[in-house]
Amino acid sequence: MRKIHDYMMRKRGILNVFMVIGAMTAMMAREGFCFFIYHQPEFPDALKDNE
Amino acid sequence: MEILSEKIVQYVDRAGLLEDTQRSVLKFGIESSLEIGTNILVSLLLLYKLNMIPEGIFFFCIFIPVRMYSGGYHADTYFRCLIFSVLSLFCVMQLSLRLHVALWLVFVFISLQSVTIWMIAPVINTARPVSNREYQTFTGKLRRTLAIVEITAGMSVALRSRRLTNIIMFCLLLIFITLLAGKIKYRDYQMGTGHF
Repeated sequence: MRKIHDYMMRKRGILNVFMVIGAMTAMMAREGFCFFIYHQPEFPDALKDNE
Repeated sequence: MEILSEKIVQYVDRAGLLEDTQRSVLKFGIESSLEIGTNILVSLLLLYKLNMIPEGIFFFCIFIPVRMYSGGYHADTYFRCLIFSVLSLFCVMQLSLRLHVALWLVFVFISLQSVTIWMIAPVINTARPVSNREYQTFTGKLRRTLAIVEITAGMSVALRSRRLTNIIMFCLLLIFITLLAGKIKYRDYQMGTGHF
């Protein structure tokens, strides 16, 4: 049980890391024209500058 | 990557507490992180195999800021992007080792490329719509970045570092090519937004 619990906690930790990195990347994407790699996912409407 | 990021968001939001806008931002962020992370990992592996990790890091220090503010070509699929990234990195690293031209001539070529990029960039694309205010901001940032690149090139010439000077030149050449490809690919979109 403890092993399963540890595994789940570890997995949850990984998901939290994904959440934090994903949110940071989304915010940083507003600071540049595009990513340096040659593909960019569709920019979400919520992040668009509506000026 | 899109499917994987969708699954991660579904798992994170099992309780369904996130709003649609939050989900879309999170999915975009996770998908982008996975793509960038994979590219960095593959690039580092390639640089390790080529035994050129410091040169590769120098290349990315020049390439990332200029590319971020200049825009240009983007592939339609992530797989094409990965292939193009790896091939372009390999070519830049190999050519920088093999080019033996007078340093002052390489510096002149770097200056010409900087002026050309200054004039034709930023090149917008359909995946990242920008407002007029953002366009002005990114143009200013790009010009400041190019000025720093020019100073860096001057320093590498002064230090007589052929390899670093060559890397800067091929890096700017690569950006110039992607800008031209972007100009052609997104021509209609740029005409529509008035940023051509």
